[in-house]
Amino acid sequence: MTNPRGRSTKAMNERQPHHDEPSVDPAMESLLDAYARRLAHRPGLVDRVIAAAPVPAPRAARPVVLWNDRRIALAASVCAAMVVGMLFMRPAPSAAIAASPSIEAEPVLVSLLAGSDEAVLDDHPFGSELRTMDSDWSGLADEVRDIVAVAGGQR
Amino acid sequence: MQELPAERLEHLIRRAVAGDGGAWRELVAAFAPRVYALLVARCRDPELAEEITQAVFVTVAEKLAAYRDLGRFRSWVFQIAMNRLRDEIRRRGRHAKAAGGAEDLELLGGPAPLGYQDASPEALKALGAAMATLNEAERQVVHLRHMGGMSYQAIADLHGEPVGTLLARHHRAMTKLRQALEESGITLEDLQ
Repeated sequence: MTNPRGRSTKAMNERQPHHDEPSVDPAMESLLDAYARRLAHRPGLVDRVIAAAPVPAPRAARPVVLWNDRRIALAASVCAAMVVGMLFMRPAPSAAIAASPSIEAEPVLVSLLAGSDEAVLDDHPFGSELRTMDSDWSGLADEVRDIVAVAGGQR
Repeated sequence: MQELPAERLEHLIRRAVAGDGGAWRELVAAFAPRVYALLVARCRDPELAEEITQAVFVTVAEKLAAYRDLGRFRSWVFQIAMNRLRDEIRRRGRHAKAAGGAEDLELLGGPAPLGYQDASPEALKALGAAMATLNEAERQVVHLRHMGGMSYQAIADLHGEPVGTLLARHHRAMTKLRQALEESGITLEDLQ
């Protein structure tokens, strides 16, 4: 097979590096390794890191979970998932949210909102639903900002 | 900087979670210099790089017990480091230093570590200067690959890009670095 200039594809491929494989340039790799070693060389670094971040506390032995407790935990998880899902199945409040490919919510945030003045948690036979109390979502947005600010230690 | 075999790494993580100080030290000794090298290459500020390295391992220590994806521990640690650095640069805004090459030996850690047959200081300085000829995306893949010691697959996971794209970018970066070194009178073959 030849190209318009009469050079074979094989010959062209031999001249062109294959970009789907790591480049093998031992001299450059060696120099980059030396450069990385020099950058990594900071006397006392490991000791200072360990002083700042001591060994993780051993995990406490987990109590045996009874089947009954597991069922409760499973029910709580399903309920939280339904709450999160139903919260965002409501009509999108703005074009920006409507255009978003996905929205994620933390179950913890949902439970905090459920205890606020801006939302209410309704119980239904099929699960729970978090309803906002305001029509334009501005109060709920302020509430989320407050929760995030408190969580971030800004208040 | 020796790589830990996967089995050893998994063993160390389990021991560290159980409160084994020796295992935790070995984990930190294996990863902290790499994390620091990556960060100092990115921010060019040794103090900030160390501060973030410490913060990274505080996070790792806190979350290690809950960490499950043992095969991607390295990616996880570097992801924390890159996120921390990004947050800090955002926080510092325009006062943050631009990521470029590490031209001065102070940034390169001063004298060569004992026991290493090092490249010449001139070659290292020239390589630091050559890094400045790369664009940001090229520099990042070189830093993650060579300072962080990450695999191409791990870098691809971190960036959410195909491995082939990263390989092509890395190849372009290597070509640019070689050209810049040759222009500054450094011939790689002479260094070997």
